[in-house]
Amino acid sequence: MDFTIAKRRAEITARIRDFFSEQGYLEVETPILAPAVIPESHLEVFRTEYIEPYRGTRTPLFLLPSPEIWMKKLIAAGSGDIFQISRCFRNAEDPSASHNPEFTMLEWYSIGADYMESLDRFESLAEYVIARAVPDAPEAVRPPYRRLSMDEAFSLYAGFPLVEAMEFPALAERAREIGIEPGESDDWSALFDRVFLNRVEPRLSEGHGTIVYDYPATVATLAKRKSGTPWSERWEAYIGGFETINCYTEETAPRRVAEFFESEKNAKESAAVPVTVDTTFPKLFGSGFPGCSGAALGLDRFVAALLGKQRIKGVALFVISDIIPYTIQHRR
Amino acid sequence: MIKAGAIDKGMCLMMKGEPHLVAEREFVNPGKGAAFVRLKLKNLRTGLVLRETIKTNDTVEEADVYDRDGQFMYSDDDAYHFMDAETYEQFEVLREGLESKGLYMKEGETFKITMWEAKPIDISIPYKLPFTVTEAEDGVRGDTVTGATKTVVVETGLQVRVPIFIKQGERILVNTETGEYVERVNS
Repeated sequence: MDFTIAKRRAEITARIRDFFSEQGYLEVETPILAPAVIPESHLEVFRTEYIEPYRGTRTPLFLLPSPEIWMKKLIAAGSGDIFQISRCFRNAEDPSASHNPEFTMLEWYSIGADYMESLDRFESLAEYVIARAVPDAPEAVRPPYRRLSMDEAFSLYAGFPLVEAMEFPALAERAREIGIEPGESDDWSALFDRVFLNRVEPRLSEGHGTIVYDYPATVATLAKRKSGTPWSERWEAYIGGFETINCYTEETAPRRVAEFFESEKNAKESAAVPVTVDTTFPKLFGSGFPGCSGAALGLDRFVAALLGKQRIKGVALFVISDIIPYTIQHRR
Repeated sequence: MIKAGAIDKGMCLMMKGEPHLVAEREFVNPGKGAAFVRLKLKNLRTGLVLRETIKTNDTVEEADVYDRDGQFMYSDDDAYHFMDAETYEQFEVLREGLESKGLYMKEGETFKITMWEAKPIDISIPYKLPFTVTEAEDGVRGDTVTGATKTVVVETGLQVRVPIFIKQGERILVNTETGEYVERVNS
């Protein structure tokens, strides 16, 4: 086991805490367990239960895929700027160089900020940490990062501006022109993913760290719509070959949050692990909820990128293949 | 036809009209939306690598590919001639595209032949194989320079650069991907 990497990771984590403390963010710790979750159709969760002593009543609980649900409750209660480094769990993830079902997330919320201010903050964070803990970081992972809108990324790598293909027939035609056949059941989002994953994303993962911003609003998230455009206020960073961070200007209109819950709840019906949806969550966004921007950074990946590693194994001391022996994994 | 979600490493699939071996497979969930599977495939005829990311509920066609053991008998201008080790049936594999493989095939040795739709498309050559040196010049007397090499010929006609101490009749291990000498085999 390589403790040099463990030491460097500890150093990086310590500097991240320094950065946020110096910027006036409050470090919080919220539960990893919750009785109900934000419906996210692409995520499978881990389910467990709480057993009441003596009475034996069993309450289903979920291991959270992100601390968002609790952190937004803190914001609604007036916490101000907050950050957290916590363990997150995502079931049915394919273990790979960048995925492990259990991982560490740095999540922070900035009150009154939008997604672009969060981007500046992220670059300051990277600069701060690199200067103090990773002077040997590869050039490609150092800010400033290249900034591309999703529309520009499509123009560059898929060969057409996405804005000209915001309806299914137009996108299908453009996809066919570049050799991508739409699937029979594809809707616009699925075909968008098909083109993005085959032509755009592989190129974003190469070379200098790249930020992709302004995602199609059709892709349902809790990111705020960018008014008067077909985009939502969201960006992701590809650094050192890893998709490292996802950031939104948070949607705070109660009606929009409720709509998102409704759309995801329907998509969620085919889940391997049925979840209980937190129906009280949309009610957080009454008049008192401040405008804010939230960012979620995969810490294992970020550390791996800064240290010039191609995989999270080693940065995470134990991955799933270390905790479930091969023979058990293959007993199906 | 199978669902792409059922694809596993080692399977053979038809992609763009060609048989491919699945070398790597990774499931991805691109944010909100359908699940995808990212594949790295190797064209079984050309060896070219193809990367494809498809939806897990897309259907793909499995390629009718299997291996057959064949004992190498002889080659002529057009083909390599093999005998099935079990049925004694003779069959041929066209040289086209497989010209370099012939230099690693000794008569009488058994190889795995990849069959696609009952037609042979490839011959698997083990990564390292021993050969006997059939032609070698003597090392130049007094030449003691470390790392000095010479070219020898082995029984299949393959030319290999070897250290100067290798003599005719000796056996050497050769890397069949690079054609490079690995070591002397002590028999």
